[in-house]
Amino acid sequence: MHAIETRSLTKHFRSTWRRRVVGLDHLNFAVRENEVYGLLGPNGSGKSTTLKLILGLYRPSEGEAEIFGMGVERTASRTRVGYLPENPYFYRYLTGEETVRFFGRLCGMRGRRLEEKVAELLALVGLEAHRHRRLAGYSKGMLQRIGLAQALVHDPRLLLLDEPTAGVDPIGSIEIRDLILKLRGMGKTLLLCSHLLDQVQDVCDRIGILHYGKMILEGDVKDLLARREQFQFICEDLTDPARTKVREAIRASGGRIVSEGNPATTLEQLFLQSVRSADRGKAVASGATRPVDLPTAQP
Amino acid sequence: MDTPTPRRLGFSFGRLWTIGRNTMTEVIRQKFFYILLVFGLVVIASSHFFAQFSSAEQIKFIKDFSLAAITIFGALIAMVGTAELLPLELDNRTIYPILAKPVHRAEFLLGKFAGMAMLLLFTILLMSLIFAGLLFYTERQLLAGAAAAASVPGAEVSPGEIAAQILQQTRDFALLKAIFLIGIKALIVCAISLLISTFATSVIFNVISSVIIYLCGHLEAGARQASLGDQSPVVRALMRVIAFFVPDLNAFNLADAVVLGQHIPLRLVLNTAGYGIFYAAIALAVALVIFQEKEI
Ligand SMILES: Nc1ncnc2c1ncn2[C@@H]1O[C@H](COP(=O)(O)OP(=O)(O)OP(=O)(O)O)[C@@H](O)[C@H]1O
Ligand SMILES: [Mg+2]
Repeated sequence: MHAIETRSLTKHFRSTWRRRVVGLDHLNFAVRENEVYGLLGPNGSGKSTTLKLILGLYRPSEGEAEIFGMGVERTASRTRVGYLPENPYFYRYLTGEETVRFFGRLCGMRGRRLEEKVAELLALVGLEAHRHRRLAGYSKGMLQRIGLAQALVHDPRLLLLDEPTAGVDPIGSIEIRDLILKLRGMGKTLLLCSHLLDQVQDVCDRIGILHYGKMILEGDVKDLLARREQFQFICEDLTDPARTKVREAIRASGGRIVSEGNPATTLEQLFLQSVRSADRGKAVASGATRPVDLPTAQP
Repeated sequence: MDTPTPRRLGFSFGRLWTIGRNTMTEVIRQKFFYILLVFGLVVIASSHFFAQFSSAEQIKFIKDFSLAAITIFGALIAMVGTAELLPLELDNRTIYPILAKPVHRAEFLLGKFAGMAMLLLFTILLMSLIFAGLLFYTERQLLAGAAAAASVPGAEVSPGEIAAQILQQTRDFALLKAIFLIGIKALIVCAISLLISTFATSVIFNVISSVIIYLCGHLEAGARQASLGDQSPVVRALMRVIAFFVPDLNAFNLADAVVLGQHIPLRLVLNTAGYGIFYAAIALAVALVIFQEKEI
């Protein structure tokens, strides 16, 4: 049984002048249990539409979708899935804590168990310090974090994340990436849409690329990206004569050097270094706080 | 975690009420609600300042005026508040994460209704309390006045009689019946407005339609009588259609009978309430059917 399976899933939207806009065009794909699947594609290619169809938020024009073998037209299919919408909007007058509690109640949780879960999730997404602030005052990245917390509230086996790192700062993105890996380690299945290809490459087992509502490429990330004929060293403290020796050795063994030079410091590394060294001085920066340590696997 | 996914998910009043409570918070935080509520309370309180010739007239006026104010402000809050419930959820996209949880659409829609209904009942209760306070205050004043008048030698009516008359007018159980039916009427308006919002996205359109239906509902009894006369068959057919779809809202208006001191049988009150609840239930059922199929 697959975590997600779609058959000929199609969605047309009516636009002005009765013209039809194709949101998704006969999509057949499956997400296996306990894998991280990355759905990629240009703007408007149908990624968000796919997620909404899988959640029963949109009705398919044609075809069908299943979550763990259950048709998505049944409300019960949503007991095992958590959803982070793109640009999440929640009630602006609720505080962060109230928001997570509200969604927990909707999932039938209450009492001690709910309160513990709320506290645990707020810590997990690094919003403990802002739990009593209203969402009207949250920044975009903070909303994204609260969205992630509410998606996880009922411990779903499957997570659908629509651009989980949009608007999140680089450190937050790395934390979310680590969180995704951790969730996979806990046996969860993830379907994620993203434009950040580096990240997708890091966390996804498989990817699919949508274009105009059609799947144009699908496969294992490793298979798709492996360039087995090329290899790269990055060295430190290599003297000039040593370099010459290395070049000679490579040529002697029949290899060919395609490129060489100093690897540039990426802006990301620079950003991370400076923020981390500033953080070391102060305990709490202004924005969302870094979680002290991620709680270990849940039951 | 490895318990199998239930095949069916039952209807849950817990989820409905979670939505309902949140709806109350949402409406309470809106400006229109404060404005209408405060205005309603001020209008009721202001009836004290219209001095009348006699004590009986004074009490009648306060009753008439206050019941009308409770009716009108109750209906206004119901119309404006309910019309905005769904459009706000859809425009702000707050509905997506909710329906992505194991929540039935019926629970969502009925939760919205329940929250608004609770708020309406609370509002009507608050206005009624102000009304009761005012009535009590007027009663004390009039009793004091009567006692003073009676102490003047040569008074025609005994002070005990006047006091009894005043108390009979102010401590009138029929007022509760009237307020009860005002509440039921507000619920009908709420259900109609929610039904309209399941297919019309414009709040203005919704409020205008509700107002028209509301007015038709009040004109209905009169129109039915008029149509018995020499109307053309077309007009009569039209009347019958309107009478079928629009509830007879005049039936919920007990103010005249209360002010005139007529006897209002409890049976009549309960029957009327039953009719109102039935009508609201039908409107909600239709709303559910439409919302179930709605593209959100
Ligand atoms: N509610 C809607 N009404 C009309 N058209 C829609 C609606 N939702 C999506 N579409 C259309 O469907 C197509 C796919 O949109 P979708 O939001 O799925 O794209 P996406 O891949 O998520 O893009 P992005 O990367 O910008 O998030 C687009 O052409 C879009 O205009
Ligand atoms: Mg999208």
